[in-house]
Amino acid sequence: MISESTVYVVDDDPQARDSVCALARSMGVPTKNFPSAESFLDFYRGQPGCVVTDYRMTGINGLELQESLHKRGSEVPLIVVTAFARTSMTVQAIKNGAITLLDKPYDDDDSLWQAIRTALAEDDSRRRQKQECAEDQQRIENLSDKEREVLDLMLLGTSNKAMASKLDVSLRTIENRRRKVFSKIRVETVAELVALVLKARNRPTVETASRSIS
Amino acid sequence: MLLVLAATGMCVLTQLWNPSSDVTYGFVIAPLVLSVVYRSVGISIGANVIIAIAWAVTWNLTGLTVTNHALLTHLLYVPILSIALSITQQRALRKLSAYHESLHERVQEPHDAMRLVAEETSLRAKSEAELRRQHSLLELILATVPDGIFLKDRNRNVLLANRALCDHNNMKLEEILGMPSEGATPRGMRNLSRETDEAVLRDGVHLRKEYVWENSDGTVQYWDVEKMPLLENSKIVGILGVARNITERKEAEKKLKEQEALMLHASRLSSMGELAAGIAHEINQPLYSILNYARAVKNTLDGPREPNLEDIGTWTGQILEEAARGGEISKRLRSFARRSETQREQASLSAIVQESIGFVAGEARSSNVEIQSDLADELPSVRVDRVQIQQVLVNLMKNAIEALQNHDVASRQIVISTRRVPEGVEVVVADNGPGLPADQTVDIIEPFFTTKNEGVGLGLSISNTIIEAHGSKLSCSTNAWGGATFEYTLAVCENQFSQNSTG
Repeated sequence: MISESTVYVVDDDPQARDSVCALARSMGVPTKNFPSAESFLDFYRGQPGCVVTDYRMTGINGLELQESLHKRGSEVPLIVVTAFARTSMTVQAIKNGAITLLDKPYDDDDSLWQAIRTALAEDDSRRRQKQECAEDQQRIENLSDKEREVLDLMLLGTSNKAMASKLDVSLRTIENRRRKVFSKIRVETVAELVALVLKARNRPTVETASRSIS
Repeated sequence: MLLVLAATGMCVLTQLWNPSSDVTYGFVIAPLVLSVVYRSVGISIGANVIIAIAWAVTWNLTGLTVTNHALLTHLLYVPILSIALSITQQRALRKLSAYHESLHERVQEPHDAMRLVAEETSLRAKSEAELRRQHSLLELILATVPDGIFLKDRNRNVLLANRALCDHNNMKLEEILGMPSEGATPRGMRNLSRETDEAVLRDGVHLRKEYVWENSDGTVQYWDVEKMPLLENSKIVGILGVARNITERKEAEKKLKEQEALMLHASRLSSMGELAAGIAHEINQPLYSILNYARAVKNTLDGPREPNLEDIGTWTGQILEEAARGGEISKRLRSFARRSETQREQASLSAIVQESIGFVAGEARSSNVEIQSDLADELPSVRVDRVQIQQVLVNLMKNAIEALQNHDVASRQIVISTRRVPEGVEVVVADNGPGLPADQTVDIIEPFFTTKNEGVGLGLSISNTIIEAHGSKLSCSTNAWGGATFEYTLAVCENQFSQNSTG
């Protein structure tokens, strides 16, 4: 089931929490409230959206939450709002990726709004990319063993002739298999093919990511 | 007995000389009779016995024989004669003695009177000297005491004044005596002086009042004046008073108070500095909410769809509330930082505790410390300096947070509890930190005692000063968690106390 993009608001101050929810609501995005990072971690299983969290909270703080999510392999965009952005904190935050640090109160009245918009867009495009990637992987998976042999040799830049002699088949057979590879993976040039395969192979599969989250 | 023996002896002697003599009987009986008779009459026995014996001996020695009759006559004659004689003699003697006594008395009376007069005169002279001595001593004392002493009659005219009083009024003793009270009283004291005089004269009460007035040169004078009725035959005839200039003492006290206030103020400011991060967080919370709500309203109004007015109403309401919350925090902070004079007011302890928790909430959160409050319901209000009591709570919580920061425990906790006790309301601040150093529980409240690397160690000492000024004592102990517990009791407002105890 594909759930709708949601803003997850984590703050131990109920008034602050409600205000972020109001903001998200005004953007037409559904929200979900959590009084602590712990309760959010209990709930969250990789659903789409972004997280707006306070830095200072009883129990796990905003950066520790980011770390926990990072360890789980989650890439959900995180907006950490804090009254005290310190350098060490910023460095740590950036190391763990996917984060926006906002000073509280922010200089610009639409900072959080913008941050939420950006984060949601990011999450969306990341998910879309992931989806594409998964489809690419699927298409590569769909190749027959013989076709994959040809694909691997193509990636190494082997010529058709060399392939034919190496695999001990006719040049024609090689050309047929090459055509199959292009059509199955739905690319037209060798350059496209190389880029797609490399991208697909360097990414973890969707299955692995969700396994590590649960 | 002696007589019997003597008589018996005599009979033996008589028999030796003249065995045939029948005088024996007489000598045996005579002394017995004599002794009885003489004793009953009470006259000199010895003389008659000797006469009787001499008589008997003479007769025996001369060989005369007498009949029993003759001897008895003799024996009876002598005592009767003696008795008669002695009775007459005694009567005469008694009369003489009585006469002598009356004569003596008659002579003694004027003599005694004269002696008494003489004695009295000397005594009076002596006591007059003593009186003079005491009087001069009293005058000396009156002249040397630094307090002004005065005596007024029922019309409030000055009857007596000592040197100190004259000096205080810049007047001579001759001027002041007999003067109406108004003239002998500094202008600033006159009204209250008249009122108290009248009260003493009317009700016979003992009054002690403090007078404060400003001199023409702007200096302020403080006087402590005690007045009591002067009684004569249980009627009030005047006023006796003692006036003491306490200006210097008052000024010293004031200076001390000012210094104390300065110290408290400085410590508060330093607390504020240390708490800055937490305070900034406190202030930022409502600002953050306001920005979010305002943005939400703007988004809704700017959006392509028809704005949801209900949402806008809710959100603008929230903006107002949050702005008020921010204002409240800044007001609290301002009063916490600025005010330096002690101000007692009737206050709710629960509110004070909640506000104090608000001050350190930020710091507690970042140190991962949970502050719980366990406040008794329906506590009577206390009469305290709100800011100072907040300062104590902030200090205690701050200490606990710092102690907990370096302490490895699953959940760091501070519990503030209040409860009603007979003496007032008890406030307890407990933590599950490392506790107090076992041998230093006494020193911990001393100024400059610190176990920390930062800070000067005045926090607990200042807290204790504040609590002592509120009539209690800050005590500390190690609690069941092994952490530290600090407690003190605040007095409740009198009027409510009685309400509570009766209803």
